[in-house]
Amino acid sequence: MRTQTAIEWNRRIERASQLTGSSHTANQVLEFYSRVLEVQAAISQDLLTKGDVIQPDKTLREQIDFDSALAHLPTLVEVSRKYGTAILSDVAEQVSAEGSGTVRQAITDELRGVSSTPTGNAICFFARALLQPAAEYLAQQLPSVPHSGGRCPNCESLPLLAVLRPEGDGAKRSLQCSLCLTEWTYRRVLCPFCGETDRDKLPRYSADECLFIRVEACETCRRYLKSVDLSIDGRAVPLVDEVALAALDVWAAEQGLSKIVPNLLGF
Amino acid sequence: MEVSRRSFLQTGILGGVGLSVLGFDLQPLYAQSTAFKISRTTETRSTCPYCSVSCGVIIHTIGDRAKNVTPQVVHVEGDPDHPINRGTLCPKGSSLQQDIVNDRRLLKPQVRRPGSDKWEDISWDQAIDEIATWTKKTRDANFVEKDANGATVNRLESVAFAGGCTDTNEFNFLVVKTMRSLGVTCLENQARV
Repeated sequence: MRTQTAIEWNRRIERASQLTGSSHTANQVLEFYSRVLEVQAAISQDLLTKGDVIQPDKTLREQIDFDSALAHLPTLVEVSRKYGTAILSDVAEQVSAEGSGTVRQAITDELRGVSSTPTGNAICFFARALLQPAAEYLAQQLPSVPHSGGRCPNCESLPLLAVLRPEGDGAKRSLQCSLCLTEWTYRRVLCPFCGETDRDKLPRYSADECLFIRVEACETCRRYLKSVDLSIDGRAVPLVDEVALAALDVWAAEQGLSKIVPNLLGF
Repeated sequence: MEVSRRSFLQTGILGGVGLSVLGFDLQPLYAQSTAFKISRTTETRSTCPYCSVSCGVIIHTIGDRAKNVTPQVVHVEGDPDHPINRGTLCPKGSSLQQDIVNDRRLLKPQVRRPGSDKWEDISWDQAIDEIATWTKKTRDANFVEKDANGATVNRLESVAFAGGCTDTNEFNFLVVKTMRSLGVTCLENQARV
C-alpha cells in the first residue's frame, strides 16, 4: 500500500506539472494545484510512516487523523501565500495570524456534514486540502465491497467526478469520492445525485477539442459532474485532468447547471 | 466576461466579476469555453439485434433536440453494466454503428434480370409481386411431396434463400418460418459472426 500510494501522489503531481505547460487557460489554477498536491503527498507520506490502522467499530469520518494533517497547515498557508490568488493569499495571512482554530472548525464542520459553504470558500479549501490525503489513507485500508449507491461506500460523501475505464468493447463508469478519493463502480445511465434513469434527461456534453472529458448532466436535478474517459486518453489522471478543464465548469455554469461537489480549487 | 445573475446564484464557481470563489481569473477559462464546439449526446441502453445471445449495447446519439435536427448515431459500445456481455462485443456487434449509419446501405429493392450485368431499382410493390409470382410458379412446378421411397417430404429443392450477416435475430426468425412453410431446404441466414 505504501508504495502504491506514493506512486499515485507522484502521478498526480507529475500530471499537474505536465498540464501546466500545455494548458494556457488553466495555467494559474494548475500551477497552484501542483504545489497543493505536493503538500497533500507529504501528509500522505507522514500518515504512512505513522501507520495507524483503521478500527472496524468506528466510521471512517470519526477516525480521520486531522491533527497529523493540521501539522502541514503552515506549509499549505505558505504555498497559498506564495502561489495562490489574492483571495487565498489574504485568507492564508488571516489563518497565519489566528492559528489553526478556524481551519480546525472548518474540518470538523466538513466531517460532520454541516459545512455552511458546501460550494467552497477559501477556509473550506484549506480544510478539504488537508482532509483528502488523511481520509484516503484510511479508505485504502478498507476492502472493496459491492456498492451501487451514489455516495461513497467508505465515507458517504458525494462524488467529485466520474472515471470511465475500458471494459470489453465499452467503458465502465466509476465515481470518485470528493473526500477520501475512493473509486466505486456506478451504472452508466443513471444520475448519481437524484437517481434519474431517463436517458433523455441525462445529456452528456463534450467538446470536440477534448473528447475525453465530458459534462454528465441531469435535467431533473440540474446537477452535473465531469467524467474522464480513460478509454480515449489513457494518460489522463482523473483528479488532475478534471481540474485542468475548468473551462467546462464555466460553460456548465453558464447553462445553469450546478456541480454535485466542486473540486478542491472551487470549480 | 459577463457574469449573469442566474449563473452567479446557481453555481459556486463565480465569486465576483471575472473571478472564481477562490479568486482565479475566469477570463481565459471563459474564452476557452466559448471557443469549444460542444455537442449534446444521449446514451441509450439497448440490445444487439444480431443473435440470440442478446448482448447489451450503449448507443450514443448526437443532436441538440432542436426540431430541425435529426438525431444521429455516432458511436455504439458494449454495455459494461450488462450481465450477459459485460461490455464485450463480437465483430458484428462492435460495428453496429456502421450498420445504422452507412451511405452504402440500400434504401430500395433492386433486381438483376436473367442475362443482365446490372442491378436496377424497382418499387416495393413490384418486388413483392414478382417474388410472389416466381415463387408460386417455381413451387407449383417443382414441389416434391414424396421421395423415391414413397416417404412424405414436402420439400422445394429449386428455391434457395441466402441472408446477410447484418440480418437481425427477428428477421431470421421470420425467414425460417416463411421458408420452411414453403418447403425450402436450402436455407442460409448467416446467423453467425
